[in-house]
Amino acid sequence: MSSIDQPTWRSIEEKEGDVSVQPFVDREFQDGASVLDEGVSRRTFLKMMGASLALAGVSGCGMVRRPKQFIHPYAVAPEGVVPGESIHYATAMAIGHHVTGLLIESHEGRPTKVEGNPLHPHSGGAAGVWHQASVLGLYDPDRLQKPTFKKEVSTQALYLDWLSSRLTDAAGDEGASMLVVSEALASPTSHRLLAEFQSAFPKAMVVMADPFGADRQVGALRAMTGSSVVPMPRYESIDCLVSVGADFLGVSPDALRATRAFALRRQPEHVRGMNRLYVLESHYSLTGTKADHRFRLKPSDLERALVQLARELLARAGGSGLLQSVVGSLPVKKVLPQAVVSAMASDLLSPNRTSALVAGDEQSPFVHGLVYAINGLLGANGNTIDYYRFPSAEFATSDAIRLGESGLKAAVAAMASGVIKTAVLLGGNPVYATPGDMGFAQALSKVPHTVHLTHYHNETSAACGWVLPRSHYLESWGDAKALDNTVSIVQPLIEPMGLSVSDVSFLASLLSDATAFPSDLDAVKATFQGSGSAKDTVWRQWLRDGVVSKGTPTDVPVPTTFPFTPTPVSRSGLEVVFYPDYKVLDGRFSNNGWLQELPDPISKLTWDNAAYISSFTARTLGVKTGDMMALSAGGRHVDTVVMVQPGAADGCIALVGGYGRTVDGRVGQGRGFNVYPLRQTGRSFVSGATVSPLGRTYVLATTQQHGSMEERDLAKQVTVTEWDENPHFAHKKHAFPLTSSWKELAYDEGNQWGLAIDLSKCTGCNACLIACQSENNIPIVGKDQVANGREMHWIRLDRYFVGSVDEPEVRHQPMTCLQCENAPCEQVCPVSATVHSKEGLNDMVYNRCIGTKYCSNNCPVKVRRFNFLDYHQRNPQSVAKRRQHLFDYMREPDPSVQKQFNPEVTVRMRGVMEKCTYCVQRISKGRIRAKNESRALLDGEIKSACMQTCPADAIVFGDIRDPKSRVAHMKSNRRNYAILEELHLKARTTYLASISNPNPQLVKES
Amino acid sequence: MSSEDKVSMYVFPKWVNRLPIYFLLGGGALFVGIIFVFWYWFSPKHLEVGYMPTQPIPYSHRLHVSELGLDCRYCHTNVETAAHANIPTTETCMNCHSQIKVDSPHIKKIKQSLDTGVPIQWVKVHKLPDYVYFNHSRHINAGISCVSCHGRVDQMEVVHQAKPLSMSWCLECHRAPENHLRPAAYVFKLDWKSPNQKEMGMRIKEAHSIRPGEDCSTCHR
Repeated sequence: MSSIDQPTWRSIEEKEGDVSVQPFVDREFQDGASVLDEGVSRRTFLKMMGASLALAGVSGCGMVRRPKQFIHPYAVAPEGVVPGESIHYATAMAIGHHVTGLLIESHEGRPTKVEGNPLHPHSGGAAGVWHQASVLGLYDPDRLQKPTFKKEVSTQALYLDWLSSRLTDAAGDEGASMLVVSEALASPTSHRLLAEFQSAFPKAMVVMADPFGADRQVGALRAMTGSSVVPMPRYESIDCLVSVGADFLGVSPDALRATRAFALRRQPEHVRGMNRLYVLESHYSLTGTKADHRFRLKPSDLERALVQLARELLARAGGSGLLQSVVGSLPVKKVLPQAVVSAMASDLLSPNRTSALVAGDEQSPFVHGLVYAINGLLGANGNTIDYYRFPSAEFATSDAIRLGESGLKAAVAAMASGVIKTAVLLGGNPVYATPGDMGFAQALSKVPHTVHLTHYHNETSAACGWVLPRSHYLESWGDAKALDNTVSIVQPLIEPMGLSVSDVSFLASLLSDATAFPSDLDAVKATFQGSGSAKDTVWRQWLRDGVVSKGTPTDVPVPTTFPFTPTPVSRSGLEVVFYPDYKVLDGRFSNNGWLQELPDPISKLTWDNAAYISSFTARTLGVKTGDMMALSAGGRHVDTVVMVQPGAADGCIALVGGYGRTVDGRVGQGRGFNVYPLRQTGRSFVSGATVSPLGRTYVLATTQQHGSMEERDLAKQVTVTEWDENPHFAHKKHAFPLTSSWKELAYDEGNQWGLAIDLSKCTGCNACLIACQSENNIPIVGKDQVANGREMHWIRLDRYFVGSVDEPEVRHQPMTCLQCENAPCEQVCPVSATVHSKEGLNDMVYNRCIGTKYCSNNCPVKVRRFNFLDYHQRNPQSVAKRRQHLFDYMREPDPSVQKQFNPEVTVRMRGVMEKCTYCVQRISKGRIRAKNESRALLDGEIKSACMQTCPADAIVFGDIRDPKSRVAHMKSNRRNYAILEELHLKARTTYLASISNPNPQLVKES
Repeated sequence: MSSEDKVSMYVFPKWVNRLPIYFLLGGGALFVGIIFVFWYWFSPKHLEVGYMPTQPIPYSHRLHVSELGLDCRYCHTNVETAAHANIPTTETCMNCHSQIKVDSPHIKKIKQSLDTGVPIQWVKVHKLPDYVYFNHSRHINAGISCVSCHGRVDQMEVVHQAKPLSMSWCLECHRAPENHLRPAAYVFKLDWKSPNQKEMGMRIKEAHSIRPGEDCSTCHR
């Protein structure tokens, strides 16, 4: 069967014909979707509305004119600020060791949107979900505003007094009673200050660790070669790639760079042909969804499969040396069929093709070591994989500065022994996010003097004496060194919102005895002294570009030993793997509503995490999706909820970190389940876990059935061979001529906007969704509302499974308003609230809309969103509205959050239909600029928010009438197809069919 | 009293037959009247035109523009490049008033604003709803004079709203821009009038291919 004919399905329930799915197939909005579900019923609401309308009428007859409004011009205008026009500033955001250069859009000093910096190699113009959502975090009213001591509000001066007495104490024993625990910092200035602190207090312990990070990989390579390096594959030049549990396209903060390079080679039109991706993994990851061959293996089998592959490669390539001596002595267990291994090996070794292996951050040192050695054998090291010096390792030259989990372990031992009198915690949340067997919380309770610098009140700050508000990266000076040694200056865009302290000031205060926090700008400038920063022009150039200098790869270090063995596993029980969440990462973004409501790219789960298990494992354990279970291993247990995931490895449970926060802001607290207690220090996975169902169920809000396309084949994908045989597979022959009942307009004048999405490149990463949300003032609706099918995201990322429940393939398809020329929505609107523009846009006129929802009922792709309950008001952080007139009877978003709103886009209220407009505000802006300059619009001058941020460069917007435009070029591709063409929609958004590139030796004859 | 008269006592007079018609006509007139009242008195043309709030500083456009000859753009600096025609900063006022009339109590207020950095709180006169996105630069660069929307501000002692700024009023011009288009040199000359506006407007419209949008998304997003 050709892959084009295979039915697609979105969930196991749908595939198995479960009745629970039917309501979502039948109708877009569920029963009761328009009923206010708490307090006020629709009827009382209407009564209230009637009464207030009558009152408003009365007030209208009085002498009351419209409310008086004021204009506040600047007293002294800041240079370069034009009221109403946005300016972009370059800065950089570090997530752990990963740094992404960004451009921040600012309206009169308010940062409103985050975009990628094209000059920064880790961004290339793209920004991921975390970077883009960070602007909401800046305005989060739950962020700490004032320093507290023992939960009482205090002042910075009192803290500095306290600090100075602690430092005097510590000076007595050269710092032996002092401990600094920091989250992973990528800032050279912070590194410098930590190193200076270490030399000032030689016996003090300094630890830097994140719950998930690059430390394990760096540690493994250091143990093998003696140098701290980090591999950076050049994905665009790798023809054949094997991912060993590496989610380089998904949850890695480095995914932007990887996605852009990888996606380049997913086009069959590329001069060097398509790349091929093999993925070995335990749970379905985003990288797995782009695999040409995916093998689901529990983590212990993953190691065995790697050994198997190494043996096969050695047998064929005849290598010797370290790899031979390691692999030769290991027992062989065939977890992959021999045919598969030999096909992979011959593919990897085929001449004239480059090949490489990539290991996931969370894999064991054994896997990292083996992958490094195999890459040496394949000739990838230094060729398609560059090695860079690990930035954090450069300052950690002293033995007292420790990185990663081993450092935390030493810190816990020191605290537990009672030696440590003062613990300084910078960021992070170690009480919550350290492995359960480490006992960080108990150890910390033995330290008499503690301080925590943190954005939010969290589990760790609850256990600390002093709690200082930490500055957001958009409100403080700093710097950042990316893994490829690209250095950027982090410049603030706004004054601190509270009495917060930046990382750099905080660390500098450990070295000074001042009565105020030292300036972070001075500290950053001091770091760059000698490299030309003294010159103002150089410094300004750095700020303008967002890049100070780019790094160069180091020599490939030579492995000398292989001090690793396969992870010992218990024969009984299940194996448990942990990975950071696609939305809230390790928990640091858990109070961000945009991220909480973002559907997980694989499971489409919002507002929660779950334990992902295969359907076979679920049957064995007697559980199903939504059942609660207690999961025990190593003497500790966690309660969590089951979600059966197609394509998960049997005998294995995948747990997602970052949820189950007990102390957090109003958005994040109490969501999902904490899985960190089950983690074990020094282990990449846990074995011997047992499960007992709890007999309870838990409601999970997934969006996977929302906007059901009823098994229609909309996301097309074929193999490259099938494509060669039938290049026009994406186009159907229609049984009857396509004509419209209405007179069709020609659309042959001016710009005619269109969009093309290359499904071959799209990885389903959700970046477009958050870009759209921040550009278009889209509210979050909350878990209950998502469960009821009322989420407001204008872009829906459809994820389809194809094939069997155990080993399905995945296809992604971003779905948003197609801007049909013959739009079915326009034909049924009784009030002409949705009409066509001359440029082919399907305009939505909010003020005309009376909320009949006829349009969404008639929309064939279900992309219209109805604001049922004024979700901006119902946000958990909303406040009572300041009353200006009688209609202001309810609530409004927190004044702080309102600053994020894009002033170019209307903030819609309840009762109004809304949808994608191709970012008409950006079109207007571009058009006005071009007209003012008396010239035609250039191709690529106007970018929709989704196109602007797409890391894969899969989305292209432009003028389809201009034959030279990129979008017209894409639409002339043979892979280009319109969905539901038989309805004669004449959609302006079209898709380019996805092509896969499986190994011909492994394609099953059928 | 005859029996006939007795009966007629209980019979409605003849004119009563016309009552329904009176009611209908009267009701109709009332209905039309109410609509007319709302249509006229509740329209921006009636409610908005003439709005003349008291400003914190009695700045006279007549004095500064007509008598002293200041150009609009001396204060409204961004009108040619930005969507908003900005209200001048305190600094702009002080360019002259650091020397002129420094003893006036109002100038002292301005001085105070500059010293403290607290902006002067001007009352907004021309208001468009939040869902309307008007761009000054586009209109100025196309050749629409300030006077078309703001009236003879150069003659106003106190600024008031001169035009209704309603949607139908906007569309009048978007449908026939030739009635307002003028050469770039005269855009800021509020007292200038073309002897043959229509003909000249058509010429400019053709020359610069000015096609004002009439799509909803031209102004609403």
